[in-house]
Amino acid sequence: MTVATSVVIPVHGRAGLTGRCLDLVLAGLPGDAEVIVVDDASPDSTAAVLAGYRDAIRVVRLEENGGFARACNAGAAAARGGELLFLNNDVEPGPGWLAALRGYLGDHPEAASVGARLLYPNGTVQHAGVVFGQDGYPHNVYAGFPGDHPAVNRPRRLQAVTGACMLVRAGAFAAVGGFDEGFLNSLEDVDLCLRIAAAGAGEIHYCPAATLVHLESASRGRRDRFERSLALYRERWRGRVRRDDLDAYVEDGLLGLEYGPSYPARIAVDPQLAVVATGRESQIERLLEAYATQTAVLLEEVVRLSAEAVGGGGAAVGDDAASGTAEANGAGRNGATSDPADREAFLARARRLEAEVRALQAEAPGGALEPGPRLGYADQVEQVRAAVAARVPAGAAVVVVSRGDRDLVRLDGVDAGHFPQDGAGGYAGHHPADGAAAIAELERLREGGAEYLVLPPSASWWLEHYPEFARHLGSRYALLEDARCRIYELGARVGAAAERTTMGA
Amino acid sequence: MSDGAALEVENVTNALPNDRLWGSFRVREIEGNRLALIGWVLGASAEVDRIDIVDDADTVVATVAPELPRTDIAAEFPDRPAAATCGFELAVEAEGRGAGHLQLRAVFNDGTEAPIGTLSVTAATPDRAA
Repeated sequence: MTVATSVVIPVHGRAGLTGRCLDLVLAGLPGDAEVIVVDDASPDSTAAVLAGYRDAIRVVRLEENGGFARACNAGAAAARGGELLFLNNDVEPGPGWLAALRGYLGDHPEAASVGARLLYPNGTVQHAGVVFGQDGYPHNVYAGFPGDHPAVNRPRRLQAVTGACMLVRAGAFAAVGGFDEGFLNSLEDVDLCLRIAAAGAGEIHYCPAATLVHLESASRGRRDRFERSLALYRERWRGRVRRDDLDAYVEDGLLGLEYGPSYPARIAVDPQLAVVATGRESQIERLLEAYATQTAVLLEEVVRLSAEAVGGGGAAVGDDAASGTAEANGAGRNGATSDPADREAFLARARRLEAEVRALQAEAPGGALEPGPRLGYADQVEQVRAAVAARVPAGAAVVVVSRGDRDLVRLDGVDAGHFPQDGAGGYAGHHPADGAAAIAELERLREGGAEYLVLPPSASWWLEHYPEFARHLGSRYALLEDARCRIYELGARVGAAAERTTMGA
Repeated sequence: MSDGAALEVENVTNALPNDRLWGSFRVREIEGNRLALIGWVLGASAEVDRIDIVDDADTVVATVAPELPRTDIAAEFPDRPAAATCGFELAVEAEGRGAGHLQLRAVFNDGTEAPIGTLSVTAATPDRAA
């Protein structure tokens, strides 16, 4: 058999997780793919669990625990495929995940590596690609966002993706010598991506169609010796990487800068992306911390139980086993860690945190998590609603230039939708590529029945960024004057609309 | 990290013996977030093919074949060859915190099932600051 893809799963203990992961991987494995599990000197029953999979997997056993990079390199050395798929054992692949990654790589010959969308069990984002912040360090972009947010579901080119699920061409991997084993259980994936790009071996991409659930913190030892890896990263890359997080936010319409004839400019930021504090930092930080702690404590109440066979036919149980037909096995606390005070302490902590959050909320009437008064985004939305209510006839079809913000299309009395739109009428997820694309989208929606185009102040930069679009609007459609936002009447030519406006004034 | 979780057995409900299944099981040891169960099962008339371990979502999270040697049980049931290897041992591992349950069911070679027992556990946080 010719092997196209080698799935390499490095494991160190956690046999239960490994078994669950393997079951899911093998369930949908294409015929031209192989699975290689690298047992990185697991101290538990991993070897026995892996033996149960017989010929379905290949096992590479390391005598000494060497960490993620070394285990992945060992797996890659044993691999026969032209593509290597590195996979953590603490992920649960979703339907079609591997086909999506392979398909993406096949469709993008310029890409050397492609990463997947990883969600926490509650559906929020764990990984949608890696961006480099203004601090020069890598960050999982949009971590904590809803998994279905448009910004999370855009395939894109990035500088790095996580190694928790990474498909990479074997040639590119070999060209840079694989993972750098100087990194220990952190940042080796980022380093690999950066070296691949630096060597000209290909691009790094993100493919959201491949989705997996990642129990990130369940992996053993991922934070071991983090400082050493961080120091290595700092020395090698911090001053060289392109700090691209803001680019992503702007590209996704979550952050914008509005320029006027003089400063101050106005920054528009999606409330999901950031909170702007003006003189209320301390209070907001305290509230956010309380929220975060409360959430963390609540998350603690989710337990996943797994089980695995021990022994497997070889070892005799002997006298230590439950013995005799009359033996009773009543309720048992076993005396090991039993302490009812633990649970009481947990509940007391949760109650204290709830009280703290309530107190902080009470101190911040109006909502401390809203953007600050200088930003005024929430006010801006209200102003747009008021302008539309005043200027647009009831029942009219309206499209609003937006970044997917649902609040902007919740307009009373009219039929409102996003601009631009996807095929299903929802937010397209991105801005038009250029002015021509913006015009084409406008005309498409107009022919589909759109009667008014609303340009909120947060989108006024469109007119500078897409001058063709601005000329198109200005030459063809009437602008209904309103200080709160721009409204173009798509059914009326400039002259006629101006006349009506004058008459009605 | 779940490494710091301390697994605690809140309750063990033992359905053995019953009219279809003989046997016994108990918690052998707890270490951190893992516990070991040990026991034996022997069908009253049919042979036990496997033991399914089922979680709160009614998902089979593991399957164990009773195949460990049990000379003591073999001595009790000399006419039942299966008794010689009717022992089993399994490890339960908890990820996260909170309470959960595992049911153990014997599946006979004719496809029918009989309950073995239920295990109720909590995974607690010894020290949040740790």
